[in-house]
Amino acid sequence: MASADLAVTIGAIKMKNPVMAASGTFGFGREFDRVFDISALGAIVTKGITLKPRAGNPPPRLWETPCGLLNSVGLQNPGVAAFIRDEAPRLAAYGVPVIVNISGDSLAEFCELASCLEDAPGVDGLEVNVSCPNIHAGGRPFASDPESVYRVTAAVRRVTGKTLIVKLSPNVAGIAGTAQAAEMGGADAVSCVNTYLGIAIDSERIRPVFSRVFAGLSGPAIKPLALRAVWEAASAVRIPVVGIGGICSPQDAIEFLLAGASAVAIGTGNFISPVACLEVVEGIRSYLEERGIRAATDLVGLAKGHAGHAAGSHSDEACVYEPKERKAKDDFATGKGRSHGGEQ
Amino acid sequence: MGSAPAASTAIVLENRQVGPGCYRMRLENEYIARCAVPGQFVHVRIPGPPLDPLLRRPFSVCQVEPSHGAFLILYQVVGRGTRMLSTLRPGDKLDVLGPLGRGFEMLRVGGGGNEGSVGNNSRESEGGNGIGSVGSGSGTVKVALVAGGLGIAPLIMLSHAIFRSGVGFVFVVGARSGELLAGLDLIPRASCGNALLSGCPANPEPASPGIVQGAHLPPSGCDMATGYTGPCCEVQVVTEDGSVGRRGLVTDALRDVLAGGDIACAYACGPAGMLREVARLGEAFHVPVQVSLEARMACGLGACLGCAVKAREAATRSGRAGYLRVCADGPVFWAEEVDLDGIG
Repeated sequence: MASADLAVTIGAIKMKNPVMAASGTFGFGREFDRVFDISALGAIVTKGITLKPRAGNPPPRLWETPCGLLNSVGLQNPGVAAFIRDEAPRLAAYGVPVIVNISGDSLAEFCELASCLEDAPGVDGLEVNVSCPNIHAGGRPFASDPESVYRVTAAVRRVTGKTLIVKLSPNVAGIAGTAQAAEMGGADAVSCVNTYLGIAIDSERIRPVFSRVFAGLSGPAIKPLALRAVWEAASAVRIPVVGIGGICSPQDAIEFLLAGASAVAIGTGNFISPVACLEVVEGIRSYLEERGIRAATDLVGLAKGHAGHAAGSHSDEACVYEPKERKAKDDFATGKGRSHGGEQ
Repeated sequence: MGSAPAASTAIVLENRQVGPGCYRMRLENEYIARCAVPGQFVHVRIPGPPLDPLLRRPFSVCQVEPSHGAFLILYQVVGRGTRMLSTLRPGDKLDVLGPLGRGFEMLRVGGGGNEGSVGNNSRESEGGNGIGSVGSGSGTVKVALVAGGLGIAPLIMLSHAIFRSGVGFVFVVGARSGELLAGLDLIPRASCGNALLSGCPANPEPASPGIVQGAHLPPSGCDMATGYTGPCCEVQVVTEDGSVGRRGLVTDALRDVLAGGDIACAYACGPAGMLREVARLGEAFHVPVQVSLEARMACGLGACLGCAVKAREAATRSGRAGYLRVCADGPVFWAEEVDLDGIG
């Protein structure tokens, strides 16, 4: 048979395959480019960028758990100006779509970041990290309630013409609500999920391992949880979902596509095998060709056809979020959307 | 940064217990045997149940045999990963990523046998590119190598390179007790004045009992009686319980060595407390010190920023503020570049 078509489209970004390198695990491509030809990727999502340079958190920053990894890196990055000057031109030369992950602590900061990147060469899209704390909301993360997600998405949408992806936090009561908030705010896609908040305790020293106590859990340990989040988000929105969470193998990636993701991103998997992204691309290709499936897009959400009513489906899922400005009532339609994640 | 790292298969040739919990593994991997420079490490995927333990484990390259396409690592069983490694048998395969990191900066011996570039803090020569810059002056220039426990591993490879470059060394090796001394037999044995080496024409003292096998062999190339004029390779052994060699701390012996003068540079690898004391002694005796650090590590390539160590002013001056990456900016640093109080 003809070779399978792996191409997918996220917003205005045409990817030659559905596999991205996830933010924070791939730097700015420099390190992995020494190991393999990263132009084979579908897209690169950069390390999170902030307006000003950030030194990051004091060590320890890592803690291995059974099949998982807790991290507390603290957004160490050179700041947006240095990124545009030192990294963007080189990233552009790889010939792979570049999505810049941005983090801010206020709407104004997100907008300034997006404006700075609007004319930067080689930047194809933005991934908004709404998991960072909002200083105007007592440090509660933007991601923790749909209203904040809507506001930050809408604000960034007003200043960027680039593909806009909102990276959702799983540390909420219902991800369907924040996914819909992003969609209504004008996002082209949502990526889910960011890390799950966890804690490691050092029983020898009788104290938390991390200076900030909470850290983000990633890796295979979170895969079933992330699959559920992708399933729910994809059921709640019409925009594409980028599935993230413990993907290490082609099999993992295919499961995410079948659960409703239009593309996937590989994070912690890059640490296990630096060529994990390549292996996943080739594995998806083989899966399609062995089964005579024409295109990767044909896999998206395919598992849902076999789900019972309880698990939800595209058409009958109720709207769980409506922006305040569009309605008279102060509360959310179902109440499911609101939560207090307690993220720091 | 030297040779690009590659993920490839290494075949276990030998996996031998050399002390309580201490193992020496000889691996076949032509690329690493050919490309690794002293101080670099390999990132080893632990074979076991799928993805558990999740992360690779870093090990210093202890010795290379380019003609056999083989290299050695030394390791101590400290957790699940190393316990699994200890069960491997000849013929088993390992997924090894390397060579990684920046190695030791070699002492350059110019025509006049002076210190050359040592201690000028320039990290221009990356990945140990300074190796092999040899002039005359054999036997006059000396460096100190300081090993605590299995910290001896990277220093063994370094000692061979130093020896080949015509520079003499005093190798101070310490452990809690004699049975934990691993790798002594791998140090170049062209020694004069070596208290350990019975049969050495330069030193007829009998060897202390309990030395690891091989260490008592007459040193190859050592022929004081017939006028050996090569660089001096002196080995001093220190144990905390006094079971072998001098009783005390390795840093006690180093203090005496440095007090004797004529040491152009000190290279150290071992526990955090030992490294802090070596750095302190180096400052006191105006001897530049290079330290090889270890840290919890995920990608090993410099992308994840997990293995951070706080930079000191000396590093900041060269534009590397904040945190440095042990895996990519190190694992070898000049002592004044990093905040050693923050490690371990």
